[in-house]
Amino acid sequence: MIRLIPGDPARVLAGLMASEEDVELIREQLGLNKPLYVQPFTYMANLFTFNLGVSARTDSPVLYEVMARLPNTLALALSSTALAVALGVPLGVFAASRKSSKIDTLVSTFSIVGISLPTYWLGLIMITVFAVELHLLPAGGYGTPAHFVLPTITIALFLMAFIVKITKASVIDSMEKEYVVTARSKGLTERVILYKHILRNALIPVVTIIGLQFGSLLGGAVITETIYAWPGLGRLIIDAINNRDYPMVQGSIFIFALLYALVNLVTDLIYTIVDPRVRLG
Amino acid sequence: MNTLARELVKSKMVLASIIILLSFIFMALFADFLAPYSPIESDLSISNKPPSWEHPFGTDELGRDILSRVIHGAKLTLTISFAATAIGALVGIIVGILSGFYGRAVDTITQRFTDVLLALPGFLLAVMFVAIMGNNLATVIASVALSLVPSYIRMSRGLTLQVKELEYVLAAKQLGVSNIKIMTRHIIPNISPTLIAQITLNLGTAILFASGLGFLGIGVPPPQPEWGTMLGTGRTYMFYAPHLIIFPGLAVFLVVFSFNKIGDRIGEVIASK
Amino acid sequence: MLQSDKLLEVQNLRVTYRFEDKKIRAVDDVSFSIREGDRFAIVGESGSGKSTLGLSIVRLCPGEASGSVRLNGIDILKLSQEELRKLRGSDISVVFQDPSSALNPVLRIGDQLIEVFTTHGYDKTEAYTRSAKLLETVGIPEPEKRLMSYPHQLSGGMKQRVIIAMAIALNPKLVIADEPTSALDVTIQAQILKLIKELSETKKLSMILITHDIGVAAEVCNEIGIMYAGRMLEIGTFEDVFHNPKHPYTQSLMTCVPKGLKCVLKPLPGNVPDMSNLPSGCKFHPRCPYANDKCKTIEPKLEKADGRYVACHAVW
Repeated sequence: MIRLIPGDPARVLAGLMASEEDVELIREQLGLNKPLYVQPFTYMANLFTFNLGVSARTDSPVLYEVMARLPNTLALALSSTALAVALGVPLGVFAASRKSSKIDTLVSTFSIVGISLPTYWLGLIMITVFAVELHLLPAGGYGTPAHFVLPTITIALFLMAFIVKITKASVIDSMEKEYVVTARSKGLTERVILYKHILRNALIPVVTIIGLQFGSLLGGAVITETIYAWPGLGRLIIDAINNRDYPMVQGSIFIFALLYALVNLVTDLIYTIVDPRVRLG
Repeated sequence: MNTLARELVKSKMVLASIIILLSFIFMALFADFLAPYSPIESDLSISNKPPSWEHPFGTDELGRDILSRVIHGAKLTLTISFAATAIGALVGIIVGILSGFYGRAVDTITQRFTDVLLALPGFLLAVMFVAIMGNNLATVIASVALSLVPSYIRMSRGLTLQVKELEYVLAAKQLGVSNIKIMTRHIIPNISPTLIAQITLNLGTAILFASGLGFLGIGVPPPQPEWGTMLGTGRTYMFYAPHLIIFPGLAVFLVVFSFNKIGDRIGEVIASK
Repeated sequence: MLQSDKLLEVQNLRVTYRFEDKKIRAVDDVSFSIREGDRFAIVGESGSGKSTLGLSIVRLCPGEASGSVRLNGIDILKLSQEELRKLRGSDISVVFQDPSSALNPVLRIGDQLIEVFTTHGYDKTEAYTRSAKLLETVGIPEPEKRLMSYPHQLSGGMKQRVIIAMAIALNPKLVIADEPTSALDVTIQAQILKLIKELSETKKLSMILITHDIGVAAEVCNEIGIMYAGRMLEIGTFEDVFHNPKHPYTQSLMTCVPKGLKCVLKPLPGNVPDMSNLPSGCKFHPRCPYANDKCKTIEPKLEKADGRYVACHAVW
């Protein structure tokens, strides 16, 4: 399907000054001279051996480039998820335990603001403030822990807002369950009731949502990585699209889908661990 | 529906959101009268000028009035938002209901189709779609709609499966009421409250997706004043002309916030019933 | 402290629920008392306020309560949260209606049983041995294995046995059982009822049994109170009230004579009253065959008659 993108990759690779023969040669190397309907099948056969072809632009193997970028994307996704969970879950629980109070309203408003802020805008503004005006942090790039700060916060804010919302709803839902009355009738302290009885139940859907969101977060990487010039998979995809580097687009999307499936699988596995009712299937 | 409206207006924040939305809709409808300048024509002699009395939001890199572009952008953004959500919801709901109602082969086919769509995160699916189909207003709408479809299929299928087993639906079936009638008279009214909340929230998501594409340079192409596209091009100049990114971004935020706030409240009201 | 022979003394208890602008008085001016060893049945239709009354005794009800509830002379309604916590589970415990929702689905049976002991000061090893023994007492085979189980791995009857085990764990002075059998299958109902009866005899439990089923009350209880629209209409020994009901409402309930454990209810004319819009005077008068003008205007008080208390103008 990606072959339908207008523009001839062989010509892009050969460069502006290349002769018609050079272009033809490259086309043959890439298998682009074969009929259009054969190409997907050869490609698919290659996928099973993780032979993703070579970049139409840099000539290096796609798998190599993708694998070089993958850890960067994962590192950013993990750091922002960690931050979002560390702040979002307690805040959601806190808001739920003070339901309908001023603090609850404040937290809820913050959470809607958080999910409504466009990441790309927030990113640009944070760069302007913290990098350009205050010179506190690097505007973009990769390497030191300081480089992590702005992109991590940018991504984490959205996720955190989402986690706050889900956690609050789930905790409130659990608070109204009958086993809470039972727990109270036994003479347990409110602390034990909240941490042992309510949270164990309330956090089950939260874990699932975090897993699913971690997946979409990988999708959002195309934006954050572009803003912060982060050398990750998302940036690779956007660059490849702009360069009409189909093998690279296909290869990185393939790895992306694998990763996404893996994340969803891990989420399912975690679900079976945290909820005893599904453990035995 | 009337009680729902009354419940919505009770909260000040929701009321504010409704007013914000209505004013953006007003802006979109009467952009030609409201905008002081043309959103497209450029005047390089006044490029990147900060906000002033003549240009309250300043001018962009080609000397175009940003206020006028934001006003005209409302038209594009709201069109994309409503069209993409409508198409996504309509397709998803129809497929979901059919899949839940008929089960068997229909269900298997639609489930495999959904799995394919869900193989990538929604936004990336939209990115790939415009990458393949080219980027213009129509493909942006289609790509956003496509990324919204799977959740509607899943949701309406699940809801249909529940409603299908309700006693009066089973009774209607026994009495020989036609399938179409059962779906339109019983299933759709039963599942629509939940879907309405989802649709309102997705109107916001659609804007974030569409302008995200614009930001990456693969959304509605310039010189169209799409807010995301404006942010994407304004980014180059933001270090010395931050007004290029402040106002379009603020517009995106306000509209998305309003949709989210209203959708949230609708969800709460429905849940409490 | 004045030592009376009364274990529990409820006086003028009122419980009010607030819904935005509406107020509903689910329990209104209820007074009764229980001596040690009594097994008191609170019988009424659903919506009569009997569960609210039962749970309000240990303040497990979200409604606002006024009046007094004295356990050995100490007013529970005046206790601090911490004092209340210490009382719950050790002095007064509760058996809930639906064991499937009363047990926490994600915690092991052991965790949920052992914490009754540990929260009241036992160390973990002793709590464990006592819990295992307790499961045996309530008739659960392989107790050590069951302690490791999750609620969904147990049948409804087994789950209710676990709930009962929790309730008797610390030999409470009073057990409040709120419809303990009505969520169970009929055959299981009989087993659980038998267990409750046995335990109440061997452990000499004092108990409040809340039920809509006179048959269940007949199995276990020696005292009975009949509730209607948040009020007690008749209170007395089970013998008296059952064989010689005085209040017209009680009479109508008793005409559904139990056949074994089954009870066929003779339908009363009219409907269960709307708690947000109660009739004036005696709350039962619209459905009462003996109602006179006085009944429509003046609400009768509980008064001693023929060895029990009755709230009715028409009995004499």
